[in-house]
Amino acid sequence: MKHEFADSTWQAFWKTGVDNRPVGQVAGELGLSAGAVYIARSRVLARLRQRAQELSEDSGLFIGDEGNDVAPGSM
Amino acid sequence: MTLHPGACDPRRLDRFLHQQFAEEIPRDLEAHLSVCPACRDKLDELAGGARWWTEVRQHLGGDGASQLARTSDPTALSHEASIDLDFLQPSSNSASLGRLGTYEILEILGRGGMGIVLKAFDPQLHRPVAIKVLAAEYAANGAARKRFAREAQAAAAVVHDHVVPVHAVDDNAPRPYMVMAFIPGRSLQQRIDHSGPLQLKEILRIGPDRRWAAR
Repeated sequence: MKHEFADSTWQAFWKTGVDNRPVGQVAGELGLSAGAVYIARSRVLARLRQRAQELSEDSGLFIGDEGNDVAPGSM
Repeated sequence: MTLHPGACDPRRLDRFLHQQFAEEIPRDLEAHLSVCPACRDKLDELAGGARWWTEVRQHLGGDGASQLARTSDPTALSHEASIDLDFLQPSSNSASLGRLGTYEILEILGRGGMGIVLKAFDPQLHRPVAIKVLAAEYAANGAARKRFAREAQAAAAVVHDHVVPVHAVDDNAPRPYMVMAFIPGRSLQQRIDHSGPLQLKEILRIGPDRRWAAR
């Protein structure tokens, strides 16, 4: 999935999202504005979520995005 | 379309979020997001919000990596002592690790992030079965229980060589479980490997989706 994105987009996602580093710091490192980092990380996350949902529909895996907190046994 | 840099436009955020190949970001939007916390929050929420960031950190971050190493280590599965089988009832059969419903649990086949898979014997129908049991930490979670039940229903609705038949499910048990055909060898192991939340890692290895590329 990484190859679907420009390297800086991916880096912005990984460094802020996975490594949990401050957006300002990562922006400086990548030579981007803070706004660009926010957009980049959100786009990767949105794509990841979409992919997870597709896979989950295909194979009944557990990653989903239902409205949560449904009481047990309500289905 | 040009907007005043100061204007908030959630619909534009949403549209932009799903533009796959437009790597260049409109300057006004970029500038606006640099100064507008409300729109940053909105963008984050549209992308998936706190729940998905947590998921990403858990499964792709340091902890997730070590968890993957543990799960893919075949010897880890033999450490039965480290797997909590408290939820089993005692059995009079000496070959059994315990009872779950009417099933005699014989061995632990695998462990994933969401639970464990046990090999068991069905005394009524005299056949071996595989039982997938939801992990204790997820058994207390309504959404996880619901997904577990839905997985069972989805699998039960399908008859296909690549889908393990589901015999029964008890999603009201303290630890919900799903009884499946026992399939020795690789195919079951593959399914076990697929059952954990580490799936996100797999997603990253999967190439671009054709449906997406066609847009």
